[in-house]
Amino acid sequence: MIFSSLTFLLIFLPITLLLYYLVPGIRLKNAALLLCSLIFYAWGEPLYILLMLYSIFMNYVCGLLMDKHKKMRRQVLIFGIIINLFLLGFFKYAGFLSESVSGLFGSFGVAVPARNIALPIGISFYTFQALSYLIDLYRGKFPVQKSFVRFALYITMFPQLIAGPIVRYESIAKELEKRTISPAKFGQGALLLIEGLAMKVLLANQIGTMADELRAMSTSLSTVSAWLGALAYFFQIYFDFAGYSTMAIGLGLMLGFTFTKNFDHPYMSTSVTEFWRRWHISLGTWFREYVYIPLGGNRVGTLKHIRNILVVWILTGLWHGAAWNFVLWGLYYGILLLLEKFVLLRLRLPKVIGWIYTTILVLVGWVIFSGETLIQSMAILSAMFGNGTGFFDKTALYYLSTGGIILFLCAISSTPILGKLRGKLLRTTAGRTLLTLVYVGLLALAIMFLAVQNYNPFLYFRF
Amino acid sequence: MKKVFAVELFLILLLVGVMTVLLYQKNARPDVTEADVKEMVTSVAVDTAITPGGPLRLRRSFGLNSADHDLVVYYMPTDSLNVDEFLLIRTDEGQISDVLAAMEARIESQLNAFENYGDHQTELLKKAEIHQFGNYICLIIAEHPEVWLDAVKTLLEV
Repeated sequence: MIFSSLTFLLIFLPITLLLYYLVPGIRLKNAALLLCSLIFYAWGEPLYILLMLYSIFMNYVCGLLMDKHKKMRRQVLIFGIIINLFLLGFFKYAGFLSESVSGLFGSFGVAVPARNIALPIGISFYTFQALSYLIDLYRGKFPVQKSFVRFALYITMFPQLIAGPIVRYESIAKELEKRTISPAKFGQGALLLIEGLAMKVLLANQIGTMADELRAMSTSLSTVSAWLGALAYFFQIYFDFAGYSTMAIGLGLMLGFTFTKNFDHPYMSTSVTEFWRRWHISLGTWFREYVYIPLGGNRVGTLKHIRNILVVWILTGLWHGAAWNFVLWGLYYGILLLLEKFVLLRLRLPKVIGWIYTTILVLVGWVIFSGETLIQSMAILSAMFGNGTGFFDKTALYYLSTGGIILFLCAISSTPILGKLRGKLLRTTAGRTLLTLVYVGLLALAIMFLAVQNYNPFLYFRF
Repeated sequence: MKKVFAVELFLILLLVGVMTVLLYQKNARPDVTEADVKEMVTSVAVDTAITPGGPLRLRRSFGLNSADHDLVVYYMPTDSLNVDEFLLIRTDEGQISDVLAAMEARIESQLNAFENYGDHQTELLKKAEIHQFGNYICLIIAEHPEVWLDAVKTLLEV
């Protein structure tokens, strides 16, 4: 089930909220939320819920073992990490590995057979959450969670289960035991839910049609159409994922949980380094805490520092998907970040120049990321840089005239302007009334779009 | 120490059990290719007015993006007065409900278009079939959907 579906909005969410608010006490509320989260997951993954339940049980038991057998903590941690990585590796990367080995050595008669294994939804997210729990528990950042329901709720809580943000246990440990639920928090959460829904349905889905159609014409694009297609995807992936994260944070608030923000206007960044501080913040934080710093971070020699950055970025690429274009995309950012660290940021370029080059580099990055194959990505990049079917064509004119308004709306919405306007409106009673009407209108419009449009993909589902 | 190893062994055995259940469930054949489906279509499409449809046509008719799915084979009606159609999709479990909804919406929209003037088309649409076999979903709108269904089942080995 996804948030931007009528089943979720009109059936699942009202029933869950009703149940959650009707049952008394934090224990029953936790149990109710756990039950609803399992139903939410089982809706799309009736069988793979077994795998998630196993992961919960295994990590819970490892936590208890680490707590009870202090001398064996390190050994239990290694055991837990191996099992978690095995699950992720097997279900996410086994097919990719066997295909790659067969592709590389096929001519020598080497073929690795592989079953076509479906990727369990959310496995990348819940495995990373479980790993962070075990590692931080080992580091002594918090006491072990002895309640199975609370631990299972931390892993399965439906707002963040299938697409993050990757919530670290220490950030919600207290709220699992005691949290305040107030009308103000609920209202704030509802506003974020509507905001995220509008980003997803009214912006990402609309601009996504243009992005998909232009990508499908990758071999016959003019320079302008190729840039338009890249720009459309640039906005689609942002509003798709940021919209989903905003909905998750809003739903969390409605249930009394505070999740940290996952996006902070990344397209306003004036360097690639800054872009990655503002994009998918929870993933960046995870890799920094559990891979980059343990490898030595920047407190090592230059060569090891370069190695650490490249390792983190290849892993970040692979986290997004088991395909070579994701590896290339990760490597691309690794190299860009190294260039910035050692050259560009030392030049102290004017902010406007920084913004322009960052935007272009991020745009190019999304072309590598979004291609169904590397060949398709290269065809689009080639057209973008002058090797297309000309500079301007009828396709470009058509998409400029039909998609100009949505592109403009996306551009405005990706800046902090609307947030500042909302802040100003909230200061007066008239402003608050106007804002309420706007949000009700956005909700109604989003539901109308969902009811009449079939096109409602979710890009980060497959990660 | 022994207790820890015993618990870890139990967790490994439990993992083997879970993996066995997940990997050896009765599944549709996972390795069906586009060529296999096209061969099947050629063998049964004798009295069906269909022609291969591309990604753009799929998007227009179903609102589905072929890039989002593992395997998509779509045959559209030969002209606007025909309603025969065949669509087979293999996709992630998370997208199955969306694909099913898109297929149902397609039948509904075609029924709205042909009801009251296209009796034969309406009749075909009313006996349209949507089936799910594991990660495969297929839509059949044809004179003899049962023949198509048998062919699909044989192909998927279900």
